[in-house]
Amino acid sequence: MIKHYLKNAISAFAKNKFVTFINVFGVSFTLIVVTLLFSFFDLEWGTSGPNEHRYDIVQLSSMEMIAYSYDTIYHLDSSFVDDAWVYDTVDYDVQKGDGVSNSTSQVSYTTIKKYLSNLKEAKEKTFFTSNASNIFLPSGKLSISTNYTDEHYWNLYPYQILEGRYFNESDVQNNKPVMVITEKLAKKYFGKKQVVGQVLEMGQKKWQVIGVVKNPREYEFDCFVPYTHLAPHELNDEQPLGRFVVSFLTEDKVQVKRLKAELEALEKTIAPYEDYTDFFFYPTTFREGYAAHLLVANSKDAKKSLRKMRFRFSLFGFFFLLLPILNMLNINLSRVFERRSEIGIRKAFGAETKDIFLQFLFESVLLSLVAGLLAMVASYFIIHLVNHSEILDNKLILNSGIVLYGMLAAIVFGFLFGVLPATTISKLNIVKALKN
Amino acid sequence: MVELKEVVKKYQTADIETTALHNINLSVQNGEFVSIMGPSGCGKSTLLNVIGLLDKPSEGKILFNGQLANQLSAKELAKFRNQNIGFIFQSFHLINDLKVIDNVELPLIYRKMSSKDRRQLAEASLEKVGLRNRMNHHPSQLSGGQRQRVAIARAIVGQPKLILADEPTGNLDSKNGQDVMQLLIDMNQKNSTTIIMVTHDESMAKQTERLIRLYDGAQVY
Repeated sequence: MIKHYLKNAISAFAKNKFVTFINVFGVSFTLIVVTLLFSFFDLEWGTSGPNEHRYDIVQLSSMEMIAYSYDTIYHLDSSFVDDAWVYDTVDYDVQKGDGVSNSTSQVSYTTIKKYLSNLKEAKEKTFFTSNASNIFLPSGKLSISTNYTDEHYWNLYPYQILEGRYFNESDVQNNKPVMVITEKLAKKYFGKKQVVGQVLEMGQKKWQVIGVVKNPREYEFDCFVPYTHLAPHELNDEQPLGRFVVSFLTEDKVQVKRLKAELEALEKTIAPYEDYTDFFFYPTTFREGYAAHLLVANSKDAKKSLRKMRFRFSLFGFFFLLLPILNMLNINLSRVFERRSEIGIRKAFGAETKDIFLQFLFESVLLSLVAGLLAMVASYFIIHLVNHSEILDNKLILNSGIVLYGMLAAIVFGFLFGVLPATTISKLNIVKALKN
Repeated sequence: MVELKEVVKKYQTADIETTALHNINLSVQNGEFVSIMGPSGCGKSTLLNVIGLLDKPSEGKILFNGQLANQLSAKELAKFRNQNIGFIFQSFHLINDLKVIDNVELPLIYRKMSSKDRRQLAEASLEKVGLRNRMNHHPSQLSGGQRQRVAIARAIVGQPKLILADEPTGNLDSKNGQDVMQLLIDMNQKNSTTIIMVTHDESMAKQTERLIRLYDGAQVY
């Protein structure tokens, strides 16, 4: 039966070449856009390389502290002495006033050490901050971004190690001048990849390269060093706010909730700092953080931002796909109605409604699959061009997952604009169809 | 073989009700070759469609070998037509996008049968109508007479007990018309296939065993 459907579909496509072209072109074009979007989302939301645990990490990159103004209310006693009123203070009272001053930033090392070191709900924890530095090459100055972190960083962000090793607890505790660099920096600085044991000069300090990691698709850092090399004031500052981001690894969504609750409970235990008495942590999952970043919102409103982002994306997706689907539906309806007499013949000779329905749905899905394949080939070249032109900072790719999603979208398309014409045509009255 | 009891067929439009068939009573025996004649619009094709279970009668009964057929479900009707009835149409009704062999195979597609067996039966059927050498052609590459022979091959490929032919020679010249008629006679005589044929052509009708005349949807004799 499938062979017959296939043969029939090929003949039908060949007969109406122009209509087939319009159909294939329309679906292909839409699928190219869908595939490019998938590729972009994969870049932004994928879990390759160091982002393997992206969806299990809760990041604390925002903390708020609030200081309230206080009014002193004096209670006076008055007496009339020598033709004048005399006031004496009996007592005074300090009350919380209306004025509020707040400050929001990342967290300090002190906060991490004092409050965030032993969270029950975090499977693992790391913290990091970054500095921009300049290094000097014979060819000129090179600006790089350095990540200052601890030895747990690699468990949460598993960069692929190409040579050597990550730094460990001993390297961090003993403040060893060791450095893990990306493959790209190795090539730029040393002109080759095999660089373990060599020395790189940064910030008037000599660093021994102990490991080289593969560059992730998403550029963030060029090199990694133990956080203990940060300036002492950054580690000893007593104030709660600082410039560290803390990442917690969790097991699942339930643990994310529990971790957030644990952090909320912890806020109340933070000792007042100067006039600041109230403290709030704003932990975010990757999705919440992304939405807040995209909508230029505060981490405080991350959950709301995520809802907004989902709604906007769904709305965009709905309208973006609705128009081509309606168009294709229209073309498909006219295409199948031209074949009314064929339906009559098939039904007269024993085809059931189901057989006709499947035949036309098969044609529709097949057409979409062909369009999908063409879209994948076209997307490959477009992505190549985009990467070559360096419009984007990071490279888009067309991996097997994206191809799979793209082809899945093609099948869904085939169904969406195939079901209605197939249903309508399969219910056609035989005598009327034969008279056509 | 086929029995029609008090069959009435009415068509309803917005304002008017038209009766296409009035109280038809008809019995066709196994192996009989019957022709139906009558002026245009008298209901010949409607009668054939009702007998072939392509259209439902408004009233009355259609019995095939004593079994009431007009109350079968759409699915059962499709299966019944596929197993028992072959159709030949005046305008051939071949699928032009398919090759001759694929057109002939069509009724077998809806049976549980291997593609090899389908192909063998279709080739044998084309052999019977003398067109085996044209099996890879498309209908548009054939003459009218050849197309009708392909349609006959398609009608007989599933070895149906009944063949319904709606003016099978109507679009053919006399030579091709007679060739097609001869094929039908051979099928009837050699295989005892029951044939009911609608025709305008008196000379063709005379070659059949029995003639039924219709006038204004009613049986004259």
